[in-house]
Amino acid sequence: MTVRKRSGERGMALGLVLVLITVLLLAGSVAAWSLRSEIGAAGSDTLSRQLYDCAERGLAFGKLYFSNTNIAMNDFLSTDLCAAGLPCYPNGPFHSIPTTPAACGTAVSGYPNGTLPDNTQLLQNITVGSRTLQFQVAVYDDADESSTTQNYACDLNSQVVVWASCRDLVTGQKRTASAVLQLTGLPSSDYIGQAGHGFRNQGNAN
Amino acid sequence: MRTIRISILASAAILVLGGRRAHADTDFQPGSLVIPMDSCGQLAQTPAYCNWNAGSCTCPSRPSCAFVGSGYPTGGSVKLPFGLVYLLATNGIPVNVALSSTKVTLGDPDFSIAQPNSSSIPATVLTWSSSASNPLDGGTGSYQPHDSYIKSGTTSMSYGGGSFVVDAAYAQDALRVLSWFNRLDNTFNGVVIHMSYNVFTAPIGAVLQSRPRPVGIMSNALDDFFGETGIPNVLDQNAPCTSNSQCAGNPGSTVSGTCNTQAGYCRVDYWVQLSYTNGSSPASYSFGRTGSMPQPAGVCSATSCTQLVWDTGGGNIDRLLDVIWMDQLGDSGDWVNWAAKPYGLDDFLANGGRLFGIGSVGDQIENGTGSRRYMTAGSTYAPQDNGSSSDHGPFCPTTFTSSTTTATADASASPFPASNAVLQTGGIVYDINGGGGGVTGLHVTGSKSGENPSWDTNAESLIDGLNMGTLADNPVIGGKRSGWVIYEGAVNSWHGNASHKDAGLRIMYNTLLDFNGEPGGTVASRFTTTELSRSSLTPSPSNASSYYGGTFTWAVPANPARSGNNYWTPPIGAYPATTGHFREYTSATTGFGGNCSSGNPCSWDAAVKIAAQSSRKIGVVDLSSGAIKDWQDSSLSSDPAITWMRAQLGGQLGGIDYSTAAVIQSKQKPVNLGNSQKRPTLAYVGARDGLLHALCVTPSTQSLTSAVNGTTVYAANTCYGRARGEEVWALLPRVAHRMMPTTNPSLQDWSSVNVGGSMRVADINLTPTAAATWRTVLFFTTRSASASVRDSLSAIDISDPDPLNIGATTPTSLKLLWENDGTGSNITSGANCPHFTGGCAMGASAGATVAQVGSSFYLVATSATAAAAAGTGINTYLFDASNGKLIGFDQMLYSSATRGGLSAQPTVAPINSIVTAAIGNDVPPPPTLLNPTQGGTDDTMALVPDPSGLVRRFTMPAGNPSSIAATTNGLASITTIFSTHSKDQAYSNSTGSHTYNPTSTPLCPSVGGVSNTACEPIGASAAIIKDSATSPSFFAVVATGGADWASSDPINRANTQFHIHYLDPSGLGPTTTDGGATWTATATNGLRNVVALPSAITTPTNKVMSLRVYGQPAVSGNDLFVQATTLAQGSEVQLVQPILYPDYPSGCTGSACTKYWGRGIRVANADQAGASIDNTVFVVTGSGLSSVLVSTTGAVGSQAVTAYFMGSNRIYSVSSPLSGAANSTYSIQALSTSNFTVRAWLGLN
Repeated sequence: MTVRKRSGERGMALGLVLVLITVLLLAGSVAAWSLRSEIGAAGSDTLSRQLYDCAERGLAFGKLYFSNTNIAMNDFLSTDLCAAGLPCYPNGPFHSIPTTPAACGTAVSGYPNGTLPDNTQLLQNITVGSRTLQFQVAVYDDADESSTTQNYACDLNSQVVVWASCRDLVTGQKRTASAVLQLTGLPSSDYIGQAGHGFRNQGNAN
Repeated sequence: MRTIRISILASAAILVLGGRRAHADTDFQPGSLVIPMDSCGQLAQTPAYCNWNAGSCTCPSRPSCAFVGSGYPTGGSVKLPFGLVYLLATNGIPVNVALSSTKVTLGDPDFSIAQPNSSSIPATVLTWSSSASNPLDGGTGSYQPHDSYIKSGTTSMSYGGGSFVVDAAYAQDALRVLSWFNRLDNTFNGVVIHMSYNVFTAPIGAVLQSRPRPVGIMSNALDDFFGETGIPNVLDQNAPCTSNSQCAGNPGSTVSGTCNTQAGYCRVDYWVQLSYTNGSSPASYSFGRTGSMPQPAGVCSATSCTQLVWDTGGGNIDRLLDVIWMDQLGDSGDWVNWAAKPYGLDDFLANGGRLFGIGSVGDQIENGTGSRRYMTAGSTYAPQDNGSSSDHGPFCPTTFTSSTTTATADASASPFPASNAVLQTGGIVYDINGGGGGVTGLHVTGSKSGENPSWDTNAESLIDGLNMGTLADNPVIGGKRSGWVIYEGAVNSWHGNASHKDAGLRIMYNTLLDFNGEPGGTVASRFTTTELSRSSLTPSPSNASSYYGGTFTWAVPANPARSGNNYWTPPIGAYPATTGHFREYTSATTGFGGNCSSGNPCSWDAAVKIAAQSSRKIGVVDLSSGAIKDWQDSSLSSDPAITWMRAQLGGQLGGIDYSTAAVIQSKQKPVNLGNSQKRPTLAYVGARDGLLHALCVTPSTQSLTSAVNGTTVYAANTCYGRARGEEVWALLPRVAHRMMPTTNPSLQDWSSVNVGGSMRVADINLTPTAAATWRTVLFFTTRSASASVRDSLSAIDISDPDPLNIGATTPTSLKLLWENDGTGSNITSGANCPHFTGGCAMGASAGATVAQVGSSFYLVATSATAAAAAGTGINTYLFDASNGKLIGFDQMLYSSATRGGLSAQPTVAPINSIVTAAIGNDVPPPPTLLNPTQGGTDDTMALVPDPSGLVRRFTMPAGNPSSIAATTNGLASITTIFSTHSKDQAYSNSTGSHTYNPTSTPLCPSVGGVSNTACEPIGASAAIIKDSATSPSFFAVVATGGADWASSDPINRANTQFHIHYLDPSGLGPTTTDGGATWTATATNGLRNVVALPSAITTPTNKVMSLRVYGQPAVSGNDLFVQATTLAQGSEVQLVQPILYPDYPSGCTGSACTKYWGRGIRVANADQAGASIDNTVFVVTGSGLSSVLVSTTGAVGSQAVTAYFMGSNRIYSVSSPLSGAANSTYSIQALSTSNFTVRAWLGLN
């Protein structure tokens, strides 16, 4: 018993040594690869930061817009974004619009890739550093139905998720950011394009 | 100094006096120095001035001087102030020359100072005491104020004779220089100096900026002049010496390089000797060159120069001189000739060279090859010798033996005004000097056809018919009016013989003037047009990278129809008083400049896109009915304001000053009127043309059928037929209509016309007690600063801003809903002033703010007190936004020590270390509305900061505005939650006890025997920080220093920095019973309650000043931005005539940097216990008067922030990470992304 046990321990030690050697070899390879790719990685890192930056800008814009728009939120949620090319479940957060349960609103023209009825565009190019990046903003419903069947075309809890993605038009790389948006429910009388960022003059862009 | 903005009090004073406001219109703050140059202020002795008559000078009795009281100094002099000014200019103190260009008689005042309040005199008298302790430098010997020297009860003090004015920002420096000098030399001890107690407006014809280059003279026949002014005694504080070798002289000067060894400083050069040799032919004419002169190739040999060529490249003779004094022109052997230089005289004059001469003006100055000749008539007129007695001097004040000619303002034919525009640079002397000599036989036309300069018809002697005239003009040479040629007679006197002629005053002025202009021509690069902004940028409602801003142009175009307008002189009677720009920017950092038609540096500029006048759609609010008429309506043809506009406006855009635009898009609800849900996005902005402009920002994507007539179809992708950047319509509001000088004859100044408040827009339910009627409503105020026309608040329906509504019989939108000036007069509907017996008249306003309670709306507005008020203060108004009914009012006067329910509040401000003055009547910031409860919807409070340093909370009424009883004041519930002037202000709330202004924070200085002064005004609205992670969750942020009168001079004020305060809007206010602990970092999750702004910023002029904040703090994400500036103390480069300021900050070239000085700062690390200011991150921000626009942000830890703000000639941006702006002159130092200002992120809950 003891011998076998000892023998088994030896085998385990050998395995550990082999694993360690493998890890070291792999680490060496990675280090060599990293060395060769240093410049390229730095450039990629810069682009990555810029994409995140861009996505955050888009997210901020989307939060401002969706919290102030007078287009009904359920109209946005009732627009089939999967058909518009946005990442669809299970590969993304958006859902197609099923026949049942019925959508709570009507699709918004121009959303998400064109010009909305209020002349807003949720697909915009911006310049970050020397790059022209494109962000897209959309909104999807959270899982707010108590039953297992969710109706993503109908908001029940005045809470939706603003989604923003930014794409490098050259390399096609993307970064995405999202945030929960709490809806107040009342149509807004406010306009952000004035002194103090609104008629209350609070000087707060959040 | 502030230009364009005219103080109410100053305006009132002018009107009271029956005078007319002149046009240079520079505002001077309390504490400014005035060196009187008239017989009342400076010549309080008898005899003191003389009267030339038939060659003799007699001295009449001194005139009666209304303000001169017992003890007034009797040692004044009209000579020595010139030397004193020379001393100040030598030592870096700018001096303004106040001279009215519109006064009609010699005795008219140039300006006046009114008393700031009924208990004060307008100005005090400063006299030198050699034994007094000096609060400025701690030495012995000081200037001391003597109020008693001004007669008690004096309500206004007038100044004539071209007084010198030192702005308050430089007053202490000036007195410091004078104190230094007086201890060394008593030359100027007796010069009378006044210090204003009130803001005043003076017409500034020139600013003496720096020590002049010496006058080139063949032989110094001006010793009398120089000696009598004390100029030879002037010392340079920056040039200590013990021997002559340490004093570098100016080239060629026979007096250079001398050290006043007793005083220990170098004397200054004031003239350079020139020696001319007269050859036998023109080509050989030359003048001698001294060894220290430059030796430009082709111009000068080692010993002589053959040209007097003015160039801008340096190296030629103009580097030495800009004035040549042709003293002995009576001798035909002394000629100046540009023969060796083709078009030499043209060149000299056209580039700013100036010639001065006295005596006979025959063939003295000849042309160059191909050039015009100059006064080459060939005949001479012997000047009359006014006597051979001893020194008559040029300081014999003129009292003409015949009656004074009375002229009309702006006369283009004789008789001219006493200080006609053509005498702008030299008319100063005529009030105080005179007699003798004189230009006779003026050659207004030449005898040599084709070669003589064409003289403007205004060029002739000052006083016709008397042999005491002056000739001053800009001769037309080469097709444009160029240079200055001034021959003087009135100030020339012969005493003894032809070699003793005095005439120096004008020389001095013109030498000091750093003027290189050609009226109507191209100005020198250093005087290029400056665009300024006192407005904030507006973000696009639908585009993350676009933003909008308006500016006004501080470049005063010469009026080609009127001779003598210098380009720095505001136009006489011009409308608009200033023009401006409104632009869309789409890139991060760009300049103001350019027309942007090509998309770079901005997308478009409305100033160049406005249609020709015939195609403009302008509405005029009828003065009686309130209907909006088309300005081409024939019924308006008899309206003087409209006919004037039709004649003047053209395609101009008035200067946008103080008005922050609203950029309003369409929405799907709640408004549904006509095309409201498909309307294009328009920008609404007010301007100094008195108009509210609607400009196309984003066209509607759909074609629109006009709801006005049902037939007109506007094409898709237009703004009612207009393209991006074009003006869709403009509107002359009734209040602006009323204040048009052509409508109100009491007003002379078009610059008082300004729709200058922030545009405020909301969807308003006009019928809150019935079925809802939603309209998009634009609220705006006026900022007129006019004493005779009240400002007002107007509401315009812009639901469907179709220009066809203008002039329509039954407009569907775009109509005046209501207007209220607080008095009940000129009110469209329902307003009155029931709550305040003193009246509710509205003063100049920065705008209003909307509050929503359910589906009803209130409007809260602030204004300065109107002219009729008992003093300076703040008015707060509460209106029913649906109908304009005034339902609440509060007036708080700054003269009350118990204002705001507090005690021992300061009632005067320390305008310098010597005297105090009443707290200024600045336009207060608009209120901030909020509900400080998370999830709260109805606005419950209005926070109202004010220039006296308080922050008050007005509790908003609940429910519908119509439910407020007629006898109820809707603004009756007031809590003062903060005073910047009291330390250790304790309060408690649910989180415990706290203290605002802990011991280490400001205690305003004791000045002039007043121990409690107001030194920290709040000039900008409060911003709101929301942070669900903190308690309380809402903070109000206010920043101080935003008033021009707030001194930032650190002398004796080392502990009185300006600050950013974080306040609990729900706080109980300072009490005396709660001595709670300082609001600690622990209590507020890292927030500190006060952050001190730097107080030791060194400006390009080596002045050390405090940073101050004029614009509302901007909150975005976790960041808070303020734009700070050293503005007040840097006012030499602020809004007053910046084009006159010759000093570039080091490293600036061309228009690459601004002459304004300020810093954009980022408050870093304020969420840590050791909150600090990162002083290393700065850019020159220009006027620094606006808020920061923070365009985007992100989540905690990965912020993406871009802040935009406006400076002069520049838009700046700071991006995160702070990697720099496009302005290559100043870089932004990178900060780590871990620097967060405040924990402000709340998302949207």
